[in-house]
Amino acid sequence: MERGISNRPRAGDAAVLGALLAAALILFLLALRGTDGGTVCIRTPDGTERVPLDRDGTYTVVSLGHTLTVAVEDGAVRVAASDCENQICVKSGAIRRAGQSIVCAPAQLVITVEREEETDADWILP
Amino acid sequence: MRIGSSPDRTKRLAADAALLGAALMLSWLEAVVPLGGWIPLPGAKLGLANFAVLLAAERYSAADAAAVSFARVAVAALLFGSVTSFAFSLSGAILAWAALALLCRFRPPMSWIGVSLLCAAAHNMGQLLCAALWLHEAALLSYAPALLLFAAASGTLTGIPVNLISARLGRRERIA
Repeated sequence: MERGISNRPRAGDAAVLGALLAAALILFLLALRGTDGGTVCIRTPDGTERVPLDRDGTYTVVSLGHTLTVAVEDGAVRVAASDCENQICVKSGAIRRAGQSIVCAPAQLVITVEREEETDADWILP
Repeated sequence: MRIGSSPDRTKRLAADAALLGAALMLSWLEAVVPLGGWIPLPGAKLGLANFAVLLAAERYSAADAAAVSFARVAVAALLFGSVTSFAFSLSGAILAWAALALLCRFRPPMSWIGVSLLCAAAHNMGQLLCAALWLHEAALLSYAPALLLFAAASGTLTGIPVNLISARLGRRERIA
């Protein structure tokens, strides 16, 4: 027999196709489960608050007489509004990577992103 | 297969060269018709050239398939690729050929569609592993499910014509 691989579809083809689709599904589910959404750490002189980064939400923080609105959206966190003078925290924009931070000096507020896994950036410059 | 006599060897060389030409045409087609607009998977290709490699295995042997496949990877990298794309497609081609050689050796009850599917999956996984090692980024592996799903489609697509041609040509016909 010169060659054994058929040129008509056989049961093995369907089995291979099924196995590939099953492997894709299983790997996908594993990847979903292993996702660490990360945590937002909001630090003020009055204490530290942690909220999940993978759940959208808006938080109001009062610190040293200033009121800030912290918004978590699409896996990123930003200061949506602040009544401080310089607005540096608002202009900092959104952060999402582990180790990044937003600081509001007048309110002495520091927001950082914490994540279990290693960061995907080479360095994060403070 | 008799490889002893030199006219047969020459025919085989000519056929392999013709298949390499076909493989390069298909690679070129993939290079000029980017899929990116339709499929949001960076680096995903239909793997049409796989068709010529499978045909080499079908008509001749896994050794001929290796010649066509690796020559195609080298020439396509020179024509349309870069160093990175060469490394990625070479690692994919090595894994795909290993799968092909095993299947040709052990002949499980499947047609060229099944062979094509397994080769496409092996090619994608080889590329992905190479990319993950190259970039030191394990997170890339989360890309595997999407690539496997894509391999299921492209493997079927390239396997069907091999079945059809194999049936049309019959057992003894040679390409050259």
